[in-house]
Amino acid sequence: MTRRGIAWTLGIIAVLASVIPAFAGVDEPIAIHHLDHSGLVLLGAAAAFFVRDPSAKGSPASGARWLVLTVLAPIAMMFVMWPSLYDYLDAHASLHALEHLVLAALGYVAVAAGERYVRGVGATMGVLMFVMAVLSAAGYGVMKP
Amino acid sequence: MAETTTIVLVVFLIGAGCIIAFMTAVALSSLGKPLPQAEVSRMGYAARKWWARILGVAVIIAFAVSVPWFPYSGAKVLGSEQHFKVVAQQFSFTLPPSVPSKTPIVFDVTATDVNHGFGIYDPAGKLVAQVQAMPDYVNHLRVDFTTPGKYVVRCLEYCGVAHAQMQSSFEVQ
Amino acid sequence: MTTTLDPRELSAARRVMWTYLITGFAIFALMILIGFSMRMEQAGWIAYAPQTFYSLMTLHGIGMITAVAVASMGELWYLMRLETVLDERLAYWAWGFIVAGAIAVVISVLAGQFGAAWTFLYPLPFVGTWWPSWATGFYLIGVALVTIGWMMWCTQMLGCVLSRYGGFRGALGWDYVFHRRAFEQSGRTPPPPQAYAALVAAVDGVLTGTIGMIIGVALIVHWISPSVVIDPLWAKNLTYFFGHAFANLTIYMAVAGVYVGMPRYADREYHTSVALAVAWWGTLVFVAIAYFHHLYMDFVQIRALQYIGEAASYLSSIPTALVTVYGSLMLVYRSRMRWSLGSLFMFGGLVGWIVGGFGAVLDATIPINSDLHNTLWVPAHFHTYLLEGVVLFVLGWTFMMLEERSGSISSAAVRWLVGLGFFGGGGLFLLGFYIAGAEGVPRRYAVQPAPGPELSGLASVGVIILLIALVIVLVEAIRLAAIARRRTA
Repeated sequence: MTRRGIAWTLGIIAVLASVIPAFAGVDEPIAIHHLDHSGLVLLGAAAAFFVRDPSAKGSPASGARWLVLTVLAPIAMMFVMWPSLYDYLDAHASLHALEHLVLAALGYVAVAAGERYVRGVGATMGVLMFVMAVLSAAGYGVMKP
Repeated sequence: MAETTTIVLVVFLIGAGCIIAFMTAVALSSLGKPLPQAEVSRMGYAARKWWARILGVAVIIAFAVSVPWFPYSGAKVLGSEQHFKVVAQQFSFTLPPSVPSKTPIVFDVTATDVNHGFGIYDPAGKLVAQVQAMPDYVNHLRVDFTTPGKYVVRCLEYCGVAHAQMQSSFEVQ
Repeated sequence: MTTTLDPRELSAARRVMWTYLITGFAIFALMILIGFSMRMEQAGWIAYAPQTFYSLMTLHGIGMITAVAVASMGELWYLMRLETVLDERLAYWAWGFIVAGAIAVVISVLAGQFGAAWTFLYPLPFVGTWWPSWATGFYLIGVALVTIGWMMWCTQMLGCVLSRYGGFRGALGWDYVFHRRAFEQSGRTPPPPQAYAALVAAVDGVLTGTIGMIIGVALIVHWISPSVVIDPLWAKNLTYFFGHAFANLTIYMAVAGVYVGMPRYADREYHTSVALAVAWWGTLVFVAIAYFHHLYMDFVQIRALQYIGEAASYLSSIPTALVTVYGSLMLVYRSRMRWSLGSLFMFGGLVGWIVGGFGAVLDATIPINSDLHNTLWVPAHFHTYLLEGVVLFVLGWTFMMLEERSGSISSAAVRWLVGLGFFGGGGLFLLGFYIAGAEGVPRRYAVQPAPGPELSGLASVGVIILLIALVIVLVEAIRLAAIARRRTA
C-alpha cells in the first residue's frame, strides 16, 4: 500500500471510530473515555504522518505558523477533553461525534504542521499528544480507583 | 537517627570544602608554567578512567546501602504493631494524645483538604520521621519510639496562611 | 562548520540574545530583592503579614525560575543561531508569550495576593485561600502562557537540531558513537557540545511543556468548573515533573556557554567526544525521571518509582562530574587561562554546580530524605546551583560577550571584590539554609522555629554582601557596554 493509501485508510478508520461509538450510546467512565480519545488522537496523528511528503525536510529558518499550530494543538486537545462535559456529550450523539472528530483532527494538525515545520517535530508532538491523553486517564476528572 | 542530619551536614561541608579546594588548585595551576594540551589530555583521560570507576562504585554502594533503610516497607510488620490515625487539615492535626514506646507504631496519615506534611520532632527538637498527609490517600508511617517524652508535630508541606503555626504534639510513654 | 553570519544577521541574532538576557536579569534583580526581604522577615528584621510573605514567596519562586530560564534561552538560542538559520520572529513570539505570562503572574500576586506557592499543588490554589478566585485564574493562565512560550522556544530548538544535524540519529551522534570509523572516514563531524545542550533542552523541554500543559489545563478547567475533580497524587506527579525538569534544564542550557567560552579563555580546543555524547544521552533520560525524588515522602506512590527516583538522581550526577566539569578542569589545568570576570564566573559556576549537586545527591538518598525533605536543606541545594551555578554561567557568557566587544576587562581589584562578594556573601547566605536544614527547620515558614531566625539573620548578612557584589557587576557591565558602543560607533 502506498503512503497515501495508508493515510486514507487511517483517516477513514478515525472517522468511523469517531462517529460509531458516539451514536452507539456507550456509557463509559471518564478514564476509559479519555483512553478512547487517546486512540482517536493517535489515529489522526498517524494519518498525518503518512500524508507528509517524505522528501521534504523543512527548515527552522521559516514556517513559524506551522510551529505555532503544532504547539497549540495539544493544549486545544486538553480543553476539548473537558471531563465534566462527557455526561452531556453521551446524551447528545451528534455533538459527541463532532468532539471525536475534532480530537482526531487535532492529532492530525499537530503532526502535519510539525512535520511541515521540520521533519521529526510533528511525529514527536503526535506521540506526546497520545501520552497526554493516556496520562489524563489517571487523574483528569478522575478520582483514584 | 537523630544525629543523621548532623553527620550529613559534616559530610557535606567536608565534601564541599574538598571540591572547592581541588577546583581552586586547578584554577591556580593556570598561573604557573603552561603544559601543552595534548599532554594534559593524556594525563586527564588516564585519570578519568579511575575517576569513573570510583564514581561508579560509590554510586552503586550508596544505593545498595540505602535500600534497607527505605521507610516504605515498615508498615507491613508482624501484626504486633499498633495503628494510630492522623488527620491533617488547615491548620491543625487530629492526633492520638499518647503512644507507647518500644512498640512498633504505624501512623495512618491522611488529610481532609489540601496536602500537608506530618513531621515528628523528638524531645530534643530533631526531625525524626515524616510522611505526606494527602487528601484521598492514606500513607502509613512506621516509627519505633525508644525515648519517652513530648514529641512535636509540624506541617511539612506548604498548606496556606497558617502553615507555620500548624503544630501539635503527643506524648510517648 | 559554523555558519558565517553577515554583520546584519549577526546583529539581528545578538538583538534576540540581549532581549532575552536583559529580560532575565531584570526579573532576577527584582526577585533577589524579594528573596532578601523574605530572609529579613524570617530573621525578624522586618515584619510581613503571613499573606504577604507567602504571596511574595510564590512570586520569588516562579519569577526566579523564569528569570534564569529566559536568560539561558537567550544564550543558547544565540549559540545555535551561529550553527544554523533560525527564525527571529519566533524567538520574539516565544519571548512575548513568556513576558505576557509573567505580567499575568505579577498581577495575580501583587494585585490579587495569590499565594499557593509556585508549585500550585492541587488543591491548594482553590482551598482555604485568602485571595480572590480571579487571582488563581490569572496565575494559572500566566503560567500557561509562560509554558506556551517555553514550548515554542523548545520546538524551535528541536527543529534546529533535527534539521541541522540530520534527524534524531544525527543530533544524538548515534553513528559517531557506534560506527565511528565509517563516520569519520566519510568526513562527517558530530554535533558540537553546545548542540547537545540544545537537543536535551529541546526534547526534555517539549516533554516538560506537554506535562505542564496537562496539569495546567486540568487546573484551569477545575477553576472554571469545580465539579471536575483531580487526583491529588496524579497532580503532584505532573506538577513536580514539570517544575523539576524546567528548573533542572536551565543549568544544562546555560552550561552551553561554558562549552564555547571556556576554551576561548583557556586558549585550548574543546570538541565533542564519544564520552560527551553518551553523557548527554544520560542527561536526556535522567532530567526526565529524577523528579520522583520530590515524592519520596508519598508512601502511596508506586514503589518502583521511588527506586528509579533515587537511581536517576544519583546517575544524573555522573555526566556532570565525569564529562562536563571534568572536561572543563582539563581545559583550565596548566593552561594560559585569561582570568577575567567572564572566566571567573564560568569557573565559579562549575564549582557551585558540583557543590550544589553534592548537596542534592545527599538529599536524594531516601533514608536521609526522611530527615531533610521540605526542610531548608532543599532551598539550600537548589540555591547553590541556581545562584552559584546557572546565574554565574549566564553572567560568564554575558561578560565574555562584553569583554570581546569592548576589548577590555575588569581590573584585578574588581575581580577580587566580586569574587569575594559572590562566594563569601553567597556562601554565608547558603550556609544559613544548609545548617537550618540539618537542624530540621521547615522550608516555607513565614515564622520559623529556632534556630531558624538566627540563621536567617546570618543569611541576610550574606545577601547584603552579595548585593554589593551584584551592584559592582552591574556597574562593570554598563562600563564595558559603553566602551563596546564607543568602539563600534
